[in-house]
Amino acid sequence: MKKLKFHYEMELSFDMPVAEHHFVFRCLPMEDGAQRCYGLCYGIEPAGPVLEGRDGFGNRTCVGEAMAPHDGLKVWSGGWVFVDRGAGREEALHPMFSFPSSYTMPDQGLWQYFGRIGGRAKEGGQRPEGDLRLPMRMMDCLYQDFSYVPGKTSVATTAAQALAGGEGVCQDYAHIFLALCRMAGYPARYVAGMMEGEGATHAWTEVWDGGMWIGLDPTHNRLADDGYIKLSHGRDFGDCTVDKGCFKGFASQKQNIYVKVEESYG
Amino acid sequence: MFELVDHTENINRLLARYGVKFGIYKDQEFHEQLFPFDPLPRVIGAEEFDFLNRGLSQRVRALNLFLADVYSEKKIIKDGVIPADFVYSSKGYLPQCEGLMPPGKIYSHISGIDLVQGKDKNWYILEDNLRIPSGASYPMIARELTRRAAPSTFSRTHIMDNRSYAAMLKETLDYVNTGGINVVLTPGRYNAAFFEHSYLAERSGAVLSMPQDLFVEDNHLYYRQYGGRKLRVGAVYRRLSDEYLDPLCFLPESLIGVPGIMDVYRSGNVAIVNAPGNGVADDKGIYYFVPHMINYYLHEEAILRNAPTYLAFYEKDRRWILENLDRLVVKDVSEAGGYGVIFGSDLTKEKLKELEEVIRGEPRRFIAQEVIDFIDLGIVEGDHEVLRKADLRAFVLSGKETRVWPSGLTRFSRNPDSFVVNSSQGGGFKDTWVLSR
Repeated sequence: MKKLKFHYEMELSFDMPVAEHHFVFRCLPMEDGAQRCYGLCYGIEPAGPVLEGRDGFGNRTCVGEAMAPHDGLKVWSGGWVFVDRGAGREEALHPMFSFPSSYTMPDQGLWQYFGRIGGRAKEGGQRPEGDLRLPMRMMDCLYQDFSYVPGKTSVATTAAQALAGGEGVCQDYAHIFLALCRMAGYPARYVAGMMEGEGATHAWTEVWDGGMWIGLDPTHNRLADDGYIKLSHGRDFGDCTVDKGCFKGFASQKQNIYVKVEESYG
Repeated sequence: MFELVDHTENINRLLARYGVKFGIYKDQEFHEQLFPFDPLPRVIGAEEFDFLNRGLSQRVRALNLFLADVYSEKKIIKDGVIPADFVYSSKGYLPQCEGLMPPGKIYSHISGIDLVQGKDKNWYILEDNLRIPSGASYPMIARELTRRAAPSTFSRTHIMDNRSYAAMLKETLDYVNTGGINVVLTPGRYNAAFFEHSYLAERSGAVLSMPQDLFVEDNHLYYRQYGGRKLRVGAVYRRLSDEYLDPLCFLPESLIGVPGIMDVYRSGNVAIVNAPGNGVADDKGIYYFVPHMINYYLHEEAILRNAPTYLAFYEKDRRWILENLDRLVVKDVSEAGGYGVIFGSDLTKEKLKELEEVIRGEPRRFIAQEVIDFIDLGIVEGDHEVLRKADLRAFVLSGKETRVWPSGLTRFSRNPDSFVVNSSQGGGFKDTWVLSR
């Protein structure tokens, strides 16, 4: 178990004022068997009424608006999270995680790759409980064959497109890996969150092993351990974006994200 | 009823003036075209309507139970009646609606069920439309105008008054209203069915509103009046599709949505009519399972039958489809409006081969149906009466009870060789008379 202190910050700046800006943030860590949160706080500037709630996946949401003209929007959140990935979580498997979603729809290229790395499509029957050897092997192959290169893909890039390009970021690793797992008959879901260290938000996956969800991080080719803080999950990126919004105005925008997660001993 | 023929031209001219038009986007351009009205009604006897009424309301009750189940306990999937594939890989399935129970537990308030009558006199269901079925306004206004043109026809014959639709719609909206006014939300005047939006709003006493007239405050939905005064909204009869409804929840690039409306809905502070997420139940793949649903939820046999349908997903059906492809009609489950419908008999040998390959490659995507030889209805063309294929869209409203509107939209194909009657494909329409005795 680890006690982690986190700070998340996102700043949008516009080159001319925008108005009627509506947004939803998923920047508060989940509370489940493996994560317990303390001293959570957050702030949004320009300040306005914020509605806290949950979406259809159980993710925590903060919905707000900035109606008056403004040329920037800043959101931050922080607090402490006790993470214990070993703690068993009683959770029913939702069938939707077994099927391709819009970002993870397999194409010919994905099927060919799947075959090349020894993937086998499931023909009826259940996967043996606790046996994640095949996903682990596929994760290993993907780690060898795909390169981490920022700027080559966008938030709209699908698993098939990313694989064809051979380069991408954590979101792309996660999408390709989700597609492969689902092709092999393993239910899998996308996770948005943060990991120990300083930098940006991170994305990884969780694979159903027959009894519980196991966090696998294909970008780093390893298990997601107690150094990871989970913010939200869904079928793919589109379901659980950390920040999403719309506004009126012709401005172009710049986004800056800063995340810091460190172990806290206090 | 033949005296109506003399009024055809007049009525069509009036319909055009009222704006009874159909907008179609073709090659990136918006064209409006008239929706031609044929004066000879489809006549349904009282006994026959009673039968349809029982069959259709049974079907819609089961579909509503299915939707409530899919977004909560999923019993029908766990019990193996419907394979999970057909639910969770359907475009219409919205995980954002999981665990969400709409006011009154009703998902499909206004259902448009398309059916045809075969030459054997049996009725067959062709498809269910549970998202935003349009078309009720056309027979309503046609009736209004024909009554004015030939009042004696209506005093001599015992026809159920179909102008009751407005009252039925109002009752349905009032039943689920969470406190506040009813609004009809239209994406705007360039929508194919804008006439209908304005007409239904006017007739049912709801406020016609554009997306920018609605806003969310303190987790409630409001309508902004001209003077700036705001009115709380209790029920939204929205005429835009799920993906455009809320840019914060679905497509962020939607300019015609109301940001935050899904959260208000999730909190139970507004009713959305029809409920988001209904697409999962009117998918052409799910259609195959509706008779099973009726059995499962209501413990009754389906009163109305489906057109004989085969699911390429099942190997046995797939083999049968591939062997009989040249005489079946193949439908792409994700398409609507008469698109993605292929008649095997129209295809050359090579094209049939191609289709075979596509079906083999993506069996989940296709269903195949026997071509039903349905009854031709007489329509007036010049001085003659000619026979054309026609279907019936029945409107089933679910509020406190589930009831069928005693009328319906009868659409016909103007092309003598075509079975496709959709208005987006250039068809025309008739009034539907239900006799009261």
